Amino acid sequence: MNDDLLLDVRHLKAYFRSKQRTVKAVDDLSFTLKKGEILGLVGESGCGKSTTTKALLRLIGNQKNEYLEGEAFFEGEDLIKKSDKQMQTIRGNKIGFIAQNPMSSLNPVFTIGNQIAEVPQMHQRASKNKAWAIALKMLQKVGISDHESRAKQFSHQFSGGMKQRAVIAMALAGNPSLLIADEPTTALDVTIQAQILDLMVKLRDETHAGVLLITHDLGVVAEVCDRVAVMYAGKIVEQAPVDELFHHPQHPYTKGLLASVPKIGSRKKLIPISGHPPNLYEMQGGCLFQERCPFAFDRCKKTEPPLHKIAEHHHSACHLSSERMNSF
Amino acid sequence: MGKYILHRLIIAVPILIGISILTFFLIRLVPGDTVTAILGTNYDPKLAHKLRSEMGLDQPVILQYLIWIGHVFMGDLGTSSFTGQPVLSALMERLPITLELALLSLIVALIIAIPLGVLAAYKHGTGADYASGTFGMFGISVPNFWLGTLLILIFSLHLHLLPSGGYQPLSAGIGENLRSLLMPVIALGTAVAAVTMRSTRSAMLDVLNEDYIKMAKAKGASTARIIWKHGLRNALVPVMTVVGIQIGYLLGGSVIIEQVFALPGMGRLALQAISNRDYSLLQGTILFVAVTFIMINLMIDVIYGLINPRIRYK
Repeated sequence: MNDDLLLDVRHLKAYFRSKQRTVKAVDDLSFTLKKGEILGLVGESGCGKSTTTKALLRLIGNQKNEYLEGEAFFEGEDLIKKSDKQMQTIRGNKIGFIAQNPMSSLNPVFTIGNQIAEVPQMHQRASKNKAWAIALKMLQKVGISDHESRAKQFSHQFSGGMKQRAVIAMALAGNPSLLIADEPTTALDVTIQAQILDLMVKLRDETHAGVLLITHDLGVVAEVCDRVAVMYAGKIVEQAPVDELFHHPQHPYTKGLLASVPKIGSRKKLIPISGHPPNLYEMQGGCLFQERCPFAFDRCKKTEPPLHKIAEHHHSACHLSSERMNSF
Repeated sequence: MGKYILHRLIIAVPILIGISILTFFLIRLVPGDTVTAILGTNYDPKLAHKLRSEMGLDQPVILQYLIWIGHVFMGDLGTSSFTGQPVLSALMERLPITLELALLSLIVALIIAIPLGVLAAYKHGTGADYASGTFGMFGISVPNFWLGTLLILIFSLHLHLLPSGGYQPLSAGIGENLRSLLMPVIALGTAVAAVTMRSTRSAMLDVLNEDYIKMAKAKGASTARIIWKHGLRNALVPVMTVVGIQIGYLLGGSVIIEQVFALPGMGRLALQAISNRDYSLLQGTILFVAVTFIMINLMIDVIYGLINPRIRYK
């Protein structure tokens, strides 16, 4: 099984410090990702999803006020221990990154082809012609028609969906074994969203790369993910295969999330989760979800529930789900 | 692009006519005229009248203008009423000096300002940033004539390193030529460098926060590549606009600097023409400076289009 293991994150912490306080954006996060698997990392805004991707790519942790701890084994090597120089050879090469906002992620003064060709030029020391050929191949692969003339165009000549395709082409140009996609469809129209998601699944099938998909959209998760990790206030509160999670959610937060998604054909009133996520710098002891949880009881205030295994591949960080397991 | 340049050149014609009208009438509002300047204060009114009618100065001003502009359109800028030299040949003697002064100042300023601005942005909030900020404040606040005088005081009078004034043409050797222009270039270029440095810094600060810079980093680009390739090319777009405005300052500033360093350029020529009420020489000089200004700005716009692909001239 370990041969299949691509990414093994253990006890990852990412804190931001200021003079007065420390914001624990990611706190003791552990998860694994297998080759060819799509893992969805789901949660509300500000729960630490994006910080997790930035920590894995080591785009944070280099400033004085940023603090990183833990391990993130990628193909057997710990990313957290790498120097910035070493990370440069991994970013874009072994780990591809698809950014949240394709509208602003392309450099306006270089052609699209030039920006994709830069990846093999930097990482494979490819010649200009060879790199351009790779860029053209990538654009074709992500379904951009008329790719030869499109490659010579600039980002302002591309539509939103095409920009995201170009960003995906850029992420794939280094032939990575891990793709990190940070809300890749959030900025796009619904019809384009579906196309981009289909494309990502297709590319995963072709390249057998592992995909870490960050999203707040449960619809996206249901459509493409194999496994889901639900994040809340910097921690994973539930982790399960996608069907299991949608049909047998265990954690009250997951249940709340699912209840707040409208279902087509249903006239049932949506039930929002009351309250707000906790301040990440004023955390008291106990379960982080206790204040918003309809089932909270004494123990939730005292001890923070760890991730319990409640079924094969299903983990939940709730005193109730562990108790239920024990009572069975 | 060719069409765009042609379009701009056609637009330049009414601008130049407007400038010619302004100079023509403004100089005539100044008390005294060419004749009183030639003859001095105790002149013979009969002789003055004779001279005025010879020069056509007794005609109505509008008629004078029409005659003059008609000649200009035929390529004849007239002759200096003071020296009798044709205006065009006087201009051609002086133009290279002013152009060399202005262009050298610009180039030196850009070579210093752009790397400094980039450094200040990349290291913002550090000592390097504050040091360049101080230089920026100094460069903008210090008047160029004062800086020029100070330079002469230090490097010519005390240290005897550089000539205090005068121009050595290229024919005297490039070393001599540059020695004669070194202090004028510093005096004129410091303010341009300061303004450009500050705008480079702020443009670069904006650019470094853009998503495509984060994307470049996520692609595995090195810091140097991110700054000089992905960052600077974008930051140069607003900087070029500022540089274009600075050209006007350079041409205007050269009038003062040429005076401070006794450089026989266009600015000095214009000043002489004003004090002599040498109408045709002044009109010719101003028109020439305006043409130069318009041409340099057009050049900047063309470069702007080359840097920024979002601009396409039609």
